Amino acid sequence: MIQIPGLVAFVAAATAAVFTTSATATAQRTFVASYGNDANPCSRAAPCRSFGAAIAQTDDAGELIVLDSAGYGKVTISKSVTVTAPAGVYAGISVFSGDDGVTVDASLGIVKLRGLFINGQGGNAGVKFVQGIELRIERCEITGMGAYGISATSIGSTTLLVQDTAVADNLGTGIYVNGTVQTFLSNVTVVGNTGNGLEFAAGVNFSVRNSVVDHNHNDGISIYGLVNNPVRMTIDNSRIFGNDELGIDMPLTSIQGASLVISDSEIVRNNMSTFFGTGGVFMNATAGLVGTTLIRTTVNGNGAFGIVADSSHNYIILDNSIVTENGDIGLVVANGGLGYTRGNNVLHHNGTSEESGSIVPLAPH
Amino acid sequence: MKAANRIRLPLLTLVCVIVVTASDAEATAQRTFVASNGMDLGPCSLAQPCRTFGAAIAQTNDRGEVIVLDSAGYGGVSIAKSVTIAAPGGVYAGISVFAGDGITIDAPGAVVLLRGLTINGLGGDYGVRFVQGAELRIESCNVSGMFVAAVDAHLDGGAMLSVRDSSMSANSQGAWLHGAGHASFDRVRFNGNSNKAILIEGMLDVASANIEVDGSEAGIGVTAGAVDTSVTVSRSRFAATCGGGLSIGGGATVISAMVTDTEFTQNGCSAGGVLVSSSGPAAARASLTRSTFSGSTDRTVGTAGASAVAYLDNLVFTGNPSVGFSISAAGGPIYTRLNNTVQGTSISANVLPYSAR
Repeated sequence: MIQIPGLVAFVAAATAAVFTTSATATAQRTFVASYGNDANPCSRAAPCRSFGAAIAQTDDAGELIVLDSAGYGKVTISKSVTVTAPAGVYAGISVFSGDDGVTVDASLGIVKLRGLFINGQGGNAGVKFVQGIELRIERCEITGMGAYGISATSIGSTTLLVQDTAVADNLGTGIYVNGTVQTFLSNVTVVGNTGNGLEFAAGVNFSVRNSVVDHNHNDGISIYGLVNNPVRMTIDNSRIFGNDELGIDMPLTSIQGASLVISDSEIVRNNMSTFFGTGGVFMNATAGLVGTTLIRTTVNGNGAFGIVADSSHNYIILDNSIVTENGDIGLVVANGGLGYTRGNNVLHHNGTSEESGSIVPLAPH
Repeated sequence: MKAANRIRLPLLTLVCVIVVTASDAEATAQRTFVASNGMDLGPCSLAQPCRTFGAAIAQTNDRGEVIVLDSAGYGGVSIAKSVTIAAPGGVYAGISVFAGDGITIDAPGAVVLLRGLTINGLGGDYGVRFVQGAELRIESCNVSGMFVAAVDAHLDGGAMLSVRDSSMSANSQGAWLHGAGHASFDRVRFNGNSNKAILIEGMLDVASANIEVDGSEAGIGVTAGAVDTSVTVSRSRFAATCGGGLSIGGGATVISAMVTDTEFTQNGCSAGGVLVSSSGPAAARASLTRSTFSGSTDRTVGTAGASAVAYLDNLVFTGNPSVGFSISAAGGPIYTRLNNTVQGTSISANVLPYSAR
């Protein structure tokens, strides 16, 4: 009677031993290293050489750890997994023509990517989020991609988080999100992409904090689509600066309404070539009510108009903000749009006039 | 004997292939490596890293990467293509600059990223000198002890400089910017530079957030150039400078500065917080919002020259003893929203109210 638990334990240990030596076994933690070999089990003692081999050997909800600096190749992820290159380790993926760097295609997956350098050598997307519950990109550097730094087109209830990451100098859009992908950016640098810096298509709910969207060659942020769902968008403590076209171009229509709240941020010196009539923020919805509220935010020195609500389906609320030195009119409300000010805003040295259209005081409560 | 020969042949062939590849001077790779135990005669591969940045750059593809494998000095380098040089956090990659430049970037259209480098001047003039190119990004770098400037950037034709998470200390100038281009600074510390933290000469636009300047001769200096200049400063601190936090010297072209959510403290011996001056016909303007000025021993906000003006909105002035006026509209008017808190700070004439909207 006493010996039976011991026997059970022995049998369990033997079973475990069989599993770990089996070629199809996976582990809760796998490893890659510059000296690894993909014929190995991707264990700490016998690491693999590529992300692709290690992912295949990793448990669902397990971890893949990079042991030392090297390139580890493109990879497709179809399960929950965390890929971590600790600080001090360079883990690179060079993305060649016709390829994407990391493809996340995991219908029930929660995927985290930490500390990767993804560099385009003719490839399409640095990170391509096809489907999944959540994708979290932390401490990554995504550069030189041919089409997108990050592309997220997952459908259903999906979350994209990008933190402490640079998406720069891609030959296309920095971060492209389409559909019902709840998007959170924190401390993200979106610089020098040849397309739009951030592109939110089809009514994406997003929050951008502590980030910079500088000197992209189309719009800083492009927000568009014709949707039924309410759209909630915030930008806080961020800078949208020196983009070749508009700071924020928002031809978004939502039947159930949409609001963009911009706080403690700067929208400065966009569209200096005045390719369009607006430099800072532009809205022209065709239905519903879509509005932008600016709080403690600076709209300065943009190439044409500062802020424009160009339809009866748009409104602007200006509170404690600064609209100065824009090339044409500072605050424009046209074609039946609504403009509200708290009476505490600074407008001066806008090119043609400080404001135009129907702008009414908004009393505090 | 015959059996033994058969075994040797494949091995011999393999060795030959490796030797041929390694000695091919023309080939470049999308990613090269340097290491403390590297050799510059090698291909700069992961298995055979090089010893210096100079050798590795030559073996790297356009738009490729040079990766530092372990802590060491890797020498100055001249860059004439688009490339990334990166030392991951935890690895020290040093460049000692005995003369001239640490890193020179000189190629039309080049896009360069420098990440994780420590550049130390030992008689050298410039830490990083951007002679020409499309874009330079500097991340997580420390540049100190340079005789002329930590970073000297000629940003002509709309070229761009982006610096973040870096420090420039104990140089003459911190960042010295020239030409009709763009620059941005985020989370950059400037400590104890003997001249300006950032000197801007005729730039299109410069934006900085979360920068910290202390102990330098002055914070940001702006002089009028061939094109109008825009300077945006937010969420930053200027402390213990002699020449003030922000000094604008206008003349031929318009200079405008926006300052928000910034702290100016313990500045002064020639200027305290923000000094706007213009010697010529073009306007020089500073709009100051939600910022604090404390403990300055010279003008906290001053104008000099008829076309120099300043706007005060939601500011706090406290304990700013000054020879003459602390808020000093000696040039053009200083406009106030009448929503500022002023204590221990003297105010000159020509400070006029303006209306909010």
